[in-house]
Amino acid sequence: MCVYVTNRGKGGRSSLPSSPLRPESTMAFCGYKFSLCLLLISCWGLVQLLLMGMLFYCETPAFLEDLPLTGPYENVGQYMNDVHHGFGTNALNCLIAACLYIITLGVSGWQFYLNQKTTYQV
Amino acid sequence: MGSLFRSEEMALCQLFLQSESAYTCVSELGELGLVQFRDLNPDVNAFQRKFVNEVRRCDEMERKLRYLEREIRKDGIPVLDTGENPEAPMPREMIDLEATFEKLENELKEVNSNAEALKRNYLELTELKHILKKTQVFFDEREGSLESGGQTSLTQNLLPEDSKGPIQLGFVAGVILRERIPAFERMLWRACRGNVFLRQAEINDPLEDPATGEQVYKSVFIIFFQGDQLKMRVKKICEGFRATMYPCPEAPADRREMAMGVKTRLDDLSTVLSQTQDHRHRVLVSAARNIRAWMMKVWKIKSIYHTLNMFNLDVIQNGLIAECWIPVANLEDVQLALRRGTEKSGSLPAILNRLSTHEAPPTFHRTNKFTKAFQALIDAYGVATYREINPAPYTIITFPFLFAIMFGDVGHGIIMALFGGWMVWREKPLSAKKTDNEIWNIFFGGRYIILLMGMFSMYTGLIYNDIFSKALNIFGTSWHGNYNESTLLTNKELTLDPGNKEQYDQYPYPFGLDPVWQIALNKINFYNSYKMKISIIFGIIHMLFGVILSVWNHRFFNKPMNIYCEFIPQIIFLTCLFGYLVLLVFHKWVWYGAGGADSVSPNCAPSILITFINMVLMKGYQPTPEGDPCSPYMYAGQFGFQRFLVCVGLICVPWMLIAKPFILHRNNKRKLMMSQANGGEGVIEEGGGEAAAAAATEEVHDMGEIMIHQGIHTIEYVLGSVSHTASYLRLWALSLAHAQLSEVLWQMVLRVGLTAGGTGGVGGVVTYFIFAAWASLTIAILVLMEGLSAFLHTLRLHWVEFQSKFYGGGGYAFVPFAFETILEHAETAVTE
Repeated sequence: MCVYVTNRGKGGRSSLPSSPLRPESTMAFCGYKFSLCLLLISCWGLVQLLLMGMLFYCETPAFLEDLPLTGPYENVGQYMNDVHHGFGTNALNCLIAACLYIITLGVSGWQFYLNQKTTYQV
Repeated sequence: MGSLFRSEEMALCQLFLQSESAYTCVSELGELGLVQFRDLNPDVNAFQRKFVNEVRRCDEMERKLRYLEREIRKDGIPVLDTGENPEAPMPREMIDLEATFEKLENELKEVNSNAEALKRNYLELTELKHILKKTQVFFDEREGSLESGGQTSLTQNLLPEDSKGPIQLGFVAGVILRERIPAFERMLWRACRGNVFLRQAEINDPLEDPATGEQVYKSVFIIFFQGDQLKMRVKKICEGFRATMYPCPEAPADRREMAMGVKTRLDDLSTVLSQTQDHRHRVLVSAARNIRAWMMKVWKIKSIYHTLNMFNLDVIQNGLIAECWIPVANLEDVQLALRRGTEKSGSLPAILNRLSTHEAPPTFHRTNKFTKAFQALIDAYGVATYREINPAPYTIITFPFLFAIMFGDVGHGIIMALFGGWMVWREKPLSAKKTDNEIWNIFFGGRYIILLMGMFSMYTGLIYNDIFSKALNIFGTSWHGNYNESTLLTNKELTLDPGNKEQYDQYPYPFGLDPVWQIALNKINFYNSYKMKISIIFGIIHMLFGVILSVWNHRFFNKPMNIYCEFIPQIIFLTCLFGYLVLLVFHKWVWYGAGGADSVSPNCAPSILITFINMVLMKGYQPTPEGDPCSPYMYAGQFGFQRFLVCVGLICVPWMLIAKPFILHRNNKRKLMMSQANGGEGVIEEGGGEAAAAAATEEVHDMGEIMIHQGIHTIEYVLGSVSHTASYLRLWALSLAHAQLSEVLWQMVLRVGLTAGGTGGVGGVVTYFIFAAWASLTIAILVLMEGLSAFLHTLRLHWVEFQSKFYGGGGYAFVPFAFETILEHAETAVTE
């Protein structure tokens, strides 16, 4: 069973001055599709960046080429220091990005919910 | 036998329907949806058919319903789709329906025209009200200027100096569209040579145009002039610019009176207008409740009459004769439906006769929502010949599997599987939502295919050990680096030797490829060898399977000669040459390895391609040079065995080419001799001789045709076996492309964000934005574009390489008369 409802306003009395807009439709600054895309990307980003953050913290060699290393090194000790430091920095960065995606998830979820209420049809 | 293995057995049946029960019987058959009617009047014009009047009435009803639907949608009233399926009403109910629709249409038309007239009236009164309000200002100014007699009044300047007291100025007041004002002013200035004076003021609220219903902005204007000529000119210009003029009294008292009168009239009108709108709304709401059911009923009636038009009239028994294709397994159901129909109309029972015919019946595969998509993939290339082996059930597994070989990535597989899984999970609500977005419909129709492709891709991704171009180390890698620090510092690249027990654990990674290969520099060399070989292996298996399937076709169509003359040489040829190739691959994998004797070390392994080419070119025996531990042969006796295989394969070619035509020729000769013998014994000798001569020429014709056909078939198969085997290398090519694209995307996009570093949280923010870009590109390029590409190539592999080994594909689809499909069709046509 499928019911589609559109925002009726005062459809029958169009000759009189139009009614003021509902407050919810002004609060939604993203459209339906955009908020859905943001929602999906933030879910994905959250999961993947959390995983990557943990993996960087565990210093997996797969991510060896993704480290911010600077230039040629004199000795191994310096290199290893930079590697450990790099892993730590990247772990932190991934976790920060994951947190930012939590916020984005919240915002886009709220926008999506608002868009859902005004119209059920895609 | 009802299964997907081969298409259903169909029966051509003749239906005798009594005139009274014809309608109900067809209605019942429509609900059943298992009967395909043949058009028995193909030459008859659409306007000369028996039930053309009824179809016309249905069209009228449909038109009225569409008008109602448009009005309902204009008002934004929700149309309830309860999903009910009303039965086709009896013919006498049709009259009631027609009357109802007529009444509704007339009522709506009346309400609409009344509303329009009222709105026009309302508009005029509103404009008059605005005019009275705005012109107040103009007249006040004029009064003021006349009293003060100041130079500032513009009316003063136009008049000659020796004027005789207050000037009698005429004026015209009206309303015009705001956009037209500049042109209007210019026209007035030019036409009246600057002797008229225009004042205008904008109306702030938009007014509704009664005809179109859209809001427009207008302005009030008042034009002062002197004399009749100018008056005529002004009036003409106003008419030309479609400005509405209103009588505006001069005296302020009159104006005030008029304003009050206008106000009361406006109030009355708005009440009447709102009541009219309410009435219209009520009418539409009550119609909206039933409109879907009505539409479906009308569609059903129309389709029933279209079907009845295909029947023949049996004047003798006052009935209708129909010819139809029915699946044999459903004859009982059709009988039951006919009985129901005759009971409803209370007349003599309908008679169902089964006819025998030489015509090719339609191909009917009984599918469910899962297998329907795969069957559609096969049917897109060619509908199976009647009762031929159906490739669809195997496609359910081979299609996602071959796709996954080309798409192997756990991450992308997860995305695809989640998308497919969501569509399958939300099947019912999504299918109820009828959109005309074709791309969505294509994706939704293939939801099971997408789900399976995603799941298989996750599996092959684990085998290739590739998740977004990174490898997973679940079981612990078998490779270890044991170089000391000085070696590491002085060498840019180092090799890990699999023969060295400290560098390689001597047993491989338990599942899939070792994760170390993702970070190895010679990764592509290794992957290429591996992927090419498995592509060939899977290709040969797929093609062998196709050839084997042809046996069932030969057995079913009772052609044992085909088995001996086509199937056996085909299998032998394919196995001897390409099956042997696969065996060589496996042998080389098993026999040669590091850490053993020199003769089986990896650098001694002979190239399989060179071996195969030498084998086919029948190159001479190549002895091992002295002191060289490597032999160009992998096992003892290889040279002799390969020669033997090539000979056997070569024999198969003339076997395929000549055996069948030769046997056919012999059979024909035998038949000819037998018919000649019979003809000689018969009464008419000439007739027998002629027949024999005709048969002889026919047989010569046939021989030529058969030879050509067999030649084409043989060449196609022999050359095809080489080219199709190579064609399966696309499994390798696309897999390589996908892996490289994935890697490039990571390195060019995400790595930029990760290596940015930065102090504090700056790196985190950069990673946040870059991840969004990387994710969007992954979906757009790797999942959508690569997915589409791999889908297409898999489809080609199935259609050409696999099906050419056994599939005929010369049938036509079974299109039953079913209300379900007709209603769906009509719905999509409406929404377009």
